[in-house]
Amino acid sequence: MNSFFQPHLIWQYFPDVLSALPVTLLLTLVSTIIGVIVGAGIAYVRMENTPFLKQIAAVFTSFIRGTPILIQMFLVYYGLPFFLGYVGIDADDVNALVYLFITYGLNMAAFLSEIIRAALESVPATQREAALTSGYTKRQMYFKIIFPQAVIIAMPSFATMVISLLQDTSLAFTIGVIDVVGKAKALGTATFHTVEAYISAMIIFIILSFILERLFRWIEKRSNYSSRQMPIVATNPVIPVIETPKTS
Amino acid sequence: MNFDIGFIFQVMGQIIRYVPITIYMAVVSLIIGGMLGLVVALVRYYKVPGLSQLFSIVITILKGVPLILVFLVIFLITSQNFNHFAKAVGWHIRYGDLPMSVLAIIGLSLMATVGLSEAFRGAFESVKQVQFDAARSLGMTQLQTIRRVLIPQTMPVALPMIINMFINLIKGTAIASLVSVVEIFSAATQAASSNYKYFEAYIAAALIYWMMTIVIERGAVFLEVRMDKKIKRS
Repeated sequence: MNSFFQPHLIWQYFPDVLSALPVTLLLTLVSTIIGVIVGAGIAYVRMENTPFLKQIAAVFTSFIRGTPILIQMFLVYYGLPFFLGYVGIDADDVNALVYLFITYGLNMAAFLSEIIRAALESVPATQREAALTSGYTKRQMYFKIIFPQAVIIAMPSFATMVISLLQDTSLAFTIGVIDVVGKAKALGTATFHTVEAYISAMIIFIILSFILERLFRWIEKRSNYSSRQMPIVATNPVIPVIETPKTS
Repeated sequence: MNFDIGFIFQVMGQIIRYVPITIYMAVVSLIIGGMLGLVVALVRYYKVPGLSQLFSIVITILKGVPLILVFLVIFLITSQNFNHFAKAVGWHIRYGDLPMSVLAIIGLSLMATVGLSEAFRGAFESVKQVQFDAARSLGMTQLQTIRRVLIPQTMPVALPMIINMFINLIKGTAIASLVSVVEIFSAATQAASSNYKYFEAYIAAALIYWMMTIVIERGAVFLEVRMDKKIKRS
């Protein structure tokens, strides 16, 4: 066996590892879309104080926030076949990607619902009152007054969430989906140079995160976000903290 | 396949023994990450020439690396080289004798350093310039200013983010179990390996993680209230 670490292999593996990039991007994109839709639903239920649903939403959010995503993934992976069995669908027919969409989508939904809720609540109440007194319907009020303002407020936290989702998708290989990490692992197992393959995958993730961050920053600038009155939004790479206590 | 509720409790009883090791790994990583993160944040805040740019690049790079890849690379590098290295240096320990939690702590500390350095940097911004002018006019040295003015004022601001990081570290230990660190998650997998009741076992593990997080969050609220009182009094 030849020497243990050969840097040139990192570049040699790079195109191969890169070929699995669409899977990672697809996972991120679909989960974000699911997350936004379900997350908005949860935020709506919690803000409108719908009885019963509100409690379910609160427990769901707390559960997702309180457990590792790895466990959520395995819960869906082993738990969904139970429910599919009742409906009469054979779990073997289900693509492994579906499990991942559900896991990451629901995970995103829980975190995004908090961000969406905080953003909606940070739009001053006078805006609602003004809209309602001007004869807007509730629907018009949300779509024409509240949402446009809330989106701008939610943008920085949303960006951090998408970037951390991208990194979470690196766990997809544990249930056998060939994403960037899965590809690197397969390459490494075949050639005994696993470290080099993983470093290739690392480089891909670093570049992707960087591009995403720049992209979101550009969007924020385009939406003229910095010139508006903003609450303090702290950036945390993993979970965004919306409110920071004020010092006296 | 039938759903076996009794097995959930049985597994919970088995894996609750791994709660202390999980908390230990998270706490040690939080402390190491907190100290390193503070140093990085201070260097970047005071714009120390050279080092500041270096840290900024390193943090940007590390921010993009998923935790699992960090663990995998650390695990592979150490498992392939530690024995040669130890022999060369003359240590009488083999790789197998090392506690695997060290691996987890290295990876998690890295994650904590990155996250907390950004958190502290954000919190430093909340200290107003007049505070530094005042410290200077009192004749405080730079070090005294950091110790008595900057850090005491940033801690309450950074506290929610520190607690957040602590919870993330606890969740991160589950990822460490993929590289043979034994903790709650791997214990649950092991418990189910004899009868294939993985779903029940993972529910048990999830419940334990959930309880841990809730306790930490409650504790954090308590701590924040106390800190707020302290600030108001002063």
